[in-house]
Amino acid sequence: MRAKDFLCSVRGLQGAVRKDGNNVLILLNKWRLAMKMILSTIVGTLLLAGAATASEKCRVPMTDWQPREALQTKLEGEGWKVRSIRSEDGCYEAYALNAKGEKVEAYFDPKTFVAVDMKSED
Amino acid sequence: MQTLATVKVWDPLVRIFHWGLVGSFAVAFLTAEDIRDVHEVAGYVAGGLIATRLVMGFAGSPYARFRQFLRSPVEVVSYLRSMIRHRDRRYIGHNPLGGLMVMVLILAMGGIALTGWLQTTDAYWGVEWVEELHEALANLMLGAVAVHLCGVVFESIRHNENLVAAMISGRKRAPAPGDVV
Ligand code: HEM
Repeated sequence: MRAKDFLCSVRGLQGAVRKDGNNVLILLNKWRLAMKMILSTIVGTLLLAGAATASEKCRVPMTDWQPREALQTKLEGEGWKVRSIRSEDGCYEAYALNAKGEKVEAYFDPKTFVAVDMKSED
Repeated sequence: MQTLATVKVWDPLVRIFHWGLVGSFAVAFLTAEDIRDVHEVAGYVAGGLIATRLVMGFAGSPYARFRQFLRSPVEVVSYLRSMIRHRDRRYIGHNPLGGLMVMVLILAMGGIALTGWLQTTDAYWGVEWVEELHEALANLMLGAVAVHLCGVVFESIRHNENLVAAMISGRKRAPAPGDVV
């Protein structure tokens, strides 16, 4: 496109805006609506994702947590070889080989030591 | 219309290795936190690519061999100096600094794949230092990739050639006098 043509088309557009202010307003509103929908979808997804990650498997106030050594002792008493215990999703998460020698990843309520979730593979 | 003479540099296996590694690292990185199956498959693909590349480093095409692009520290430093003085020569293969980066990338990725696999074995299941090493290497890799990309862009501009296109087509502009073949 030559510079002259470009200028002409820009002027044409300006003219159209002046003459046809109403149509432009309608377009603008449609545009705003579309942006709102896109943005709210993004924000909604982010909020949902945030809620999903924030949702904890266990809900126990810190003062009620038993020491992790107690969990280790309990599991070892059941014949487990405990590799590591960490806190995750509000629970204790233990990596261990259970009595059958299977690899397990298990979540325990930090107050009652009830198993909340357990994955194992051999 | 002028057609420039080009030479073959990166053989097809090097190119498949490269873009396969880019893909598998990206997938493994994105799925690290929560899609374990996909993460493991991507890790094994990356590990397989690295193993293949190690063999190619000794028995592959000329520009794929480690001996072609691994230079002594003295050469690396003198290349760095020449770079600062805008006197660096164009290399048809990897330049000394690039060769060092390639080795870092290959070894880091190999270490990541190895420590990742170890975590699935009975012996290292849930062992914390393996997990920490795996993550530390992954972070190192991320930094190295960033520097790698800067190097590729920098060298492309410096020698007025598109190195990314060369890693796709395998071909580079034919050497001019003064270039290192
Ligand atoms: C996860 C990301 C990446 C990894 C792990 C990686 C790794 C590597 C490795 C190992 C090599 C050496 C190739 C060989 O000799 O076998 C290499 C070279 C190269 N990579 Fe990457 N790369 C990554 C991303 C990229 C991206 C995104 C680009 C470009 C857009 C790129 C462009 C290049 C180029 C142009 C070379 C050749 C360098 C030269 O001319 O000396 N890399 N890369």
